[in-house]
Amino acid sequence: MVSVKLEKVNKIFAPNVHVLKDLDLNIQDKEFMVLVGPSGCGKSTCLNIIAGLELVTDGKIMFGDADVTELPPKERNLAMVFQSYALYPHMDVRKNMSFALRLAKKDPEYIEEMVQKAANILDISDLLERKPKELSGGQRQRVALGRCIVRDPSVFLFDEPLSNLDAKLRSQMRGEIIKLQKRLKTTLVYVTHDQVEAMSMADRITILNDGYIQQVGTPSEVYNTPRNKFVAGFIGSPTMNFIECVKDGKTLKFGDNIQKLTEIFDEKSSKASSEKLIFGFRPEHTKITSEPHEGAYKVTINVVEYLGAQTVISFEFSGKISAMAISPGFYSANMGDTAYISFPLEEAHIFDTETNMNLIHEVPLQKIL
Amino acid sequence: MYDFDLKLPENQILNEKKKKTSLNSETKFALKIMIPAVLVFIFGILVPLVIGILISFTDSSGITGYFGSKVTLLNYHELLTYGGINGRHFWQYTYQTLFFAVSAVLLEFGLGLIFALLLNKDFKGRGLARATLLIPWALPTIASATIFRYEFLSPLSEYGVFNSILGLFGLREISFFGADALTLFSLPAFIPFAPFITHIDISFTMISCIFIDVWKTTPFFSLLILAALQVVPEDLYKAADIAGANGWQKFSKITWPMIKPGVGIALVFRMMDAIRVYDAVVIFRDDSVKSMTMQAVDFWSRSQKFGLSSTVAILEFILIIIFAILITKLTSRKSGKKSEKKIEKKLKIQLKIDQTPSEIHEDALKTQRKIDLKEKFSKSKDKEIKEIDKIKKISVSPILKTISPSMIRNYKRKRKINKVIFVILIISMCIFCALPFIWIVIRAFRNPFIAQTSFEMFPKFPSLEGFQVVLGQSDLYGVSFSRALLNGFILAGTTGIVVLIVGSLTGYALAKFEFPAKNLAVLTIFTMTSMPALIIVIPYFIQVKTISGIIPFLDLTDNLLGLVLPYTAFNLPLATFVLRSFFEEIPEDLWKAAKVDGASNFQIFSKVILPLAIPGLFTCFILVFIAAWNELLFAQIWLTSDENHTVPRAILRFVQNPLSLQADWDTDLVLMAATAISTVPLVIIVLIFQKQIIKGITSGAVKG
Repeated sequence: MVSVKLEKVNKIFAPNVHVLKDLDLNIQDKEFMVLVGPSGCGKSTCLNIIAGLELVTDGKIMFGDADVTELPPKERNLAMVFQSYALYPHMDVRKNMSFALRLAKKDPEYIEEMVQKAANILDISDLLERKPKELSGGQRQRVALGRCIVRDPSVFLFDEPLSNLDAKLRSQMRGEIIKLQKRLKTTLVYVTHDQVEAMSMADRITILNDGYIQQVGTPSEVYNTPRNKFVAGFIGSPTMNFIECVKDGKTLKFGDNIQKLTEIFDEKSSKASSEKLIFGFRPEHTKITSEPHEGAYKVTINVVEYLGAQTVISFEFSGKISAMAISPGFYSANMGDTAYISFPLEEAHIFDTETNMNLIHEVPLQKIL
Repeated sequence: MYDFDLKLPENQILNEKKKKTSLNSETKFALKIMIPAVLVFIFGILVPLVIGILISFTDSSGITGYFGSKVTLLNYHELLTYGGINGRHFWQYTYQTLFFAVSAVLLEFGLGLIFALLLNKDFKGRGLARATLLIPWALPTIASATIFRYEFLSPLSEYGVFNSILGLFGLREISFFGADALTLFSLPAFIPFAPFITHIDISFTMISCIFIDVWKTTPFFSLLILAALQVVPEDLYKAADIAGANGWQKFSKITWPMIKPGVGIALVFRMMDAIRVYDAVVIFRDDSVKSMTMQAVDFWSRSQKFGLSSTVAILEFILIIIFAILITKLTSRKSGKKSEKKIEKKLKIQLKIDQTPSEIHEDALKTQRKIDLKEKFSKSKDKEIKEIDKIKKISVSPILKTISPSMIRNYKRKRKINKVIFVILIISMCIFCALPFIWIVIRAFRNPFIAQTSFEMFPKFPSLEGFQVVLGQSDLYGVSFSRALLNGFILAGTTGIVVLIVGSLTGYALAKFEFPAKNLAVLTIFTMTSMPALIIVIPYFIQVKTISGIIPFLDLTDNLLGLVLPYTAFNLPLATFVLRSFFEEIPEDLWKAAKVDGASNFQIFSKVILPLAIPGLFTCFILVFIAAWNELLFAQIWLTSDENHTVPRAILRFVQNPLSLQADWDTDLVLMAATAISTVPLVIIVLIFQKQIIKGITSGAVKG
């Protein structure tokens, strides 16, 4: 019920650890925003700063029109779910859920009503008397969610809430959180290191690395038009293949192979700062066959992993450059076998060696919905 | 730790099953390596304890012999119900001991809690601040009592620090001890069967004793509380911040309920120690601060009434037990019948056993299933949406208050003030801990041959002559400091090594094996700590005398080596628990790997486990060494001849020797030089290894 805006936010921890660098971020009202990045990229610090658990070294934080930069957490009207759930072990579920309301000295009847309603929504009504240690991981997760709901905050903050759950429960909870957010229509900022979580849940994703925002966009934008090599490599699994190559006229050369470029590709890639380029294509955008086909390269198979629905194949171009391909269903091959591989150029990307920027898709850092 | 993994119980059940079926030879090995500890327990604790109880029921004395001439209840009658001089003294001293123990422990608890909460925050120089806490702990109590008695609390005529400061502000001098010390108030005494005692006067000397004890033990206490604070995960505070809790609410609603059991254990330990007080009060030689322990020692060494002495010791032990139970009850979450079980549960959690009963696990699974079922046939979505709408309607969603610049200024100012207060508190804490020690060192360098004419902040006549007097004169009126240093080194070193051998074997058995009566073993080791040294030392003396009556060369009374056994017995619990926690940290897989490689149980222990536990062994050695080096009570009763003095014994002897007043040097300054010599090396070692030592202290105590 409020938008969150970070303006030129810097965070420096004591001995010259510059965690966030000139961060600008617009989170819209009612939006599900996921902050994603490798560990140490500053995503959790960013969340703590929005929460008010850490103060910015420099910059501004706006909730709607209000400047909350200096406000302590309790004045910001938000709720947070932690990776460890942070349930108070000495309180039962009811007390855990009502803690904030009790601190705010709300009417006991009102508190009970809110707890009951939240418990109904999350289906934990019969757990209210239990202590956290008597709950399973999934139940604790629900209680942590319930603790947020009862407060009806203007912003939800989630700090890797699913990483302590096993795979099956995780995907189930993922769905529930999405449903919950859509119904409650509360702005939600969600931090994770798992790009699958980011892709499946977010309205928009913010990809952070090394304290800088790499790209902000919808899941399909960051997947299809990654702004730079980092985003391209971070989103998607297995990761995008990157092949170092040299531009030679209207072709790209890598090893003994030559890739012809279309007009647009040629034009865009000629803006590069040097002859050397990085050619990127996703494993899932490849076609692999044991017999030669049109436009295919001859490669040598290294490892074949059959996963049921698909087969992941790693291979080498002329014994030097290794890459991966995905073939739907079962693909039968042995190590050392020869195969033929092709990929449609329109789904490939070319990156500048120095700036790492995507030359084919020039995307703004942040697209507003 | 509060976060139970659901898979844990199953694994543990499996492990236990495995151990039960396949560890026969290992059980034997575990029992074998427990033998030294059992022997130490029997001859160091059990036999003396039995002897002590026996002679408390006899008229044992210097005239009738150690075992007396008849069995009698007269000792108890004389002390408890007969209003003679001994009985009056007994009740007076008991009251004083209680007043001392309760007020000292309460103060230490309050102050220690503040220290611990300060140190639990993250700030620059936290390591250093924590290290200063170890200084008071490392000094022998007799040394710290000496510093306060002769330097800080002494009258204006002797340029006492506190009185000189009071003088600077134009305030009147305070007699902190001695004949002039004011009686502050009278405590009424109501004991139905001892009507002869009506009130106990509490004098300023008592306050001085309490102050000395508070200075000495608060830091240690705060380290224990600090360890207990680690149980509270950081996220809980964050969650509370977001829920809108202020500092006090965070403490009272989250921190305190969670650390209560851990702090309870620390309180029990401290209370036991405080009731046994001897070192802190002996230096005043004043009736108004005498403790139960002092009365027992007086019965032993002055009037040679061994039976009475033992009786006092046993009554003191009973008092300790009563307090231990009382505190445990008070700090458990709910008092009543169930409380003990709860404590056990909590202890288990703290011991990291984390044995969630399998029922809980199953229960959790059941509810999960129920939920899954419910979800399948769940109420229609519309209903849910209605519920949410209801929430939205009732909750008066607080819109962010309009934020005025003055409000922001307020927050900024508040944060700044908090920061300043925090820094001031930390600095005062460090000064509180370190200053007396720094003072000794400064004073030690003052020339003792030139009489002092005014209060000196820094020595007017710096010289090394104080040290020369202490080390150079081989015999300072019956005290040879160089000899005492050597003795202390031999005694503490030998004790350290013996404790390491016995303790590592025992700790290993407890850490890695299951064997019958394991819990009994833990409990026995635990009770060893609660025993007042006094209850053992006299019977132990008698035990050794009796044995040496049969085998003359075993007469180890007045012999340094004779003290190794009781010292070992008293330091074994700490060593065992510290080492056990180190052994537990060694991954189970390593043990399995050694087993697969064909190592025998003993080879695994000596070739794999011990080398890995070297840091633990080293820490443990330092802890035991310091404890043995600083021990006074045993040494005073046991080592009667001058050439066998240990350092604390020598300091006390030096202080109490009237001849030292006639020397041509200033006694106080020489005393400071002596104290400096005997404490500076300890403090340096402790500061160097502060991290390991803190880990050792806390793991030993919290786990115990």
